[in-house]
Amino acid sequence: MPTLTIPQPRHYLLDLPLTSDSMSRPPLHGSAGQELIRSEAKIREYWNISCEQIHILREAHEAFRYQAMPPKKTFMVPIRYYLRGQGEPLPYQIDDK
Amino acid sequence: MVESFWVKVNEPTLRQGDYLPNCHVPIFLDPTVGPEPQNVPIDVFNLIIITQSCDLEQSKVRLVAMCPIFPIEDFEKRNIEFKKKGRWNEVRKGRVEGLHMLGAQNNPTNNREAFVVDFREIYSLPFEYLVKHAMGLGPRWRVKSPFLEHFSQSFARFFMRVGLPSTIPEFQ
Repeated sequence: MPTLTIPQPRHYLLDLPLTSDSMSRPPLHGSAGQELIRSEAKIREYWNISCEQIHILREAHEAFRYQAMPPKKTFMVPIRYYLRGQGEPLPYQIDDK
Repeated sequence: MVESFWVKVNEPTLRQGDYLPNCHVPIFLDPTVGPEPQNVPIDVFNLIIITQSCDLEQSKVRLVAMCPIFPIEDFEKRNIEFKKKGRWNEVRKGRVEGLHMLGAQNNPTNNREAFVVDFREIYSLPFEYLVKHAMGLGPRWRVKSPFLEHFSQSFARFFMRVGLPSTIPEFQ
């Protein structure tokens, strides 16, 4: 009985989505057998694409942290401080026509 | 055909979405004040204005809020995780908090030339300094509508986040 397995990240093309006893199963004959083989390949393709998306989303959820970028450059400037005193509120215009 | 996010302007007027390269950001580390000059580091950043245009127009603001903007290839050098397949698509779709993507200025079809804005780093620079700096630049880039509104909304969504002490348990 075949069972579906989720492949490891970045092994989508190597892992088979269907783990089954395909080696020991009797060969498929006739048009129905060929149709079954084609269907299996199609399922495998869809499954790999789906798994790839799942891994991307899972990784995205886990690892979307980033570091702030450094400045393009930094240079030193001698600056003389002087105190202008406590900052005062700026005038605030109220438009109540 | 991919429409450009940007329009070129050559005027002293400042607007939200104006791209101002090579802005000087003084970083004051020492709170003491003395008679002798102190060496203060000046960081140089390419910045984009996030203050609303209506506030800039009527000179309501003394200081203008800005965020750093980087080519995505520069961002990847610092954040190599973003080189992985699918990462930039998540940013492009607005699913990464703090980051907003803007198309390339000269070649909008090339997504590798796109820019990323970091909303977590906000600098305020004096209005007068920025007007003088903008005039010195000559022709410069400005984000145009509706990409501008999209950019502005993205910043608003980031800034208005509310953190909860706990959440409803996840449905299995």
